[in-house]
Amino acid sequence: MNGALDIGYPQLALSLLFVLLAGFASLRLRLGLGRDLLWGTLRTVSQLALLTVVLTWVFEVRHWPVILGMYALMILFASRIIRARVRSTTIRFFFPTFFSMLFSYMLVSYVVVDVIVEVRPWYRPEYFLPIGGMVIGNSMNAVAISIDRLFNDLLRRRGEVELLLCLGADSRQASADMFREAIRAGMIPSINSMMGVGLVFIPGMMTGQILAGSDPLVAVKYQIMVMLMLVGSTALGSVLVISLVRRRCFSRDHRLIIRAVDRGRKST
Amino acid sequence: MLIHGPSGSGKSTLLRVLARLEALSAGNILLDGREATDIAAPEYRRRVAYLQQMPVMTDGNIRDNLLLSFRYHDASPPDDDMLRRHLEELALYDVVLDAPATELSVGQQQRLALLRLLLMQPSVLLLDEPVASLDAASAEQLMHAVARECEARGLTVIIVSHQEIGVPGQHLRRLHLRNGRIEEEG
Repeated sequence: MNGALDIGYPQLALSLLFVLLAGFASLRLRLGLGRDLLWGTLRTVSQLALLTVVLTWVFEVRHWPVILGMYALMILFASRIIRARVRSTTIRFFFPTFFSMLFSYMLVSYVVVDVIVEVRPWYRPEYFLPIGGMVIGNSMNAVAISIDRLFNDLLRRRGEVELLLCLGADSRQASADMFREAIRAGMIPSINSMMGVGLVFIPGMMTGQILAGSDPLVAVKYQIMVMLMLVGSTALGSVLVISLVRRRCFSRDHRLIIRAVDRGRKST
Repeated sequence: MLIHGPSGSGKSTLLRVLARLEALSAGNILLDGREATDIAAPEYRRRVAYLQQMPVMTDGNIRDNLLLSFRYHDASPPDDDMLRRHLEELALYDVVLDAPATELSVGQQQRLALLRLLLMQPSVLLLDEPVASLDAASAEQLMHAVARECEARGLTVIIVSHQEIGVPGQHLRRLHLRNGRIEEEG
């Protein structure tokens, strides 16, 4: 097989009709989405066009420090997105999030490309970066959910945490329940997607590989590996991030210092 | 010691600082002549026990709630007979230790919370508005129990309250707090 069928530019332009359809619905039903649709379409086209240029350049690169640098940059963007999604409190968590994701996701991505897929050399960008991207993209959601849950629980259940502190618990003991709940909350979506894969949805990566002409068996093997990898990276990332962030919610002398900040949720 | 004062005068904050739940911005706290910060916070809080304004009960039964502090240190917990005796001293009769603690009335929960602290054998007891959410009868029962414990164990008790409350006992000091400062002492 020789890869997917190419799409001609006039045909690609035809797909704008789908957006026009959505725009028409927005106008008729007064959804007020016209501007967002236009902006979204422009961003999709331009960001992906830019990505072609970047990827063409990146795939030529054969120096591992450059590739790891780009990976770190992706994690930096992910940390910013997480910061915007979590409710505002007095606790800063950008750096703990960034460094724990950097460590755990790089470790998982490295094991996948070097030990499982046996890419030689391991840092070949056309493997390392897309696989890393999947790890970051999926686990990022888990981390955001976990931190948000931890903050909410510590604020909502302040009385309970302080009760345990007053009964002689240290900060870890007093927040053990909230710690567990936060990590569970982050992991549930990736466990759910393990349950639904192949029955409820066909994952994007597998669809892409099949369209590109890969043997479905190979595509399935990749997909199994990806699903398992995502559960692992989600668990590792969340545990590390939540451990570090939880410590910041308490003072050295085991006082609960997190406070809500009344700015509501920032938007991305 | 009884600390009075209007809302917002800093009574509860003072008590929370003494319990080391809030940071101390100036000055120092001495416990038996020792700097509080030299004592590890969990150990300090076992010796200086703080009763929250609204009693907090965890999901477990009454026994679990009473014995919570024994999870965090090595003393052996009292048996059921002993617990029942303690409960009766606080006018909590016929309590089923296996029943959920959250089913008790607020007044009963408050006394349960007090007993939970006393089981740690603290040397200081901090009570934040202990009777604010109680009816007159429960309030009196609670204050009597506190006075009795105070006499029997030589406990130092510091009570914060926005209202006048009857505290039985002879060695009572009163402080009046306004805008974070002590105005009168008597």
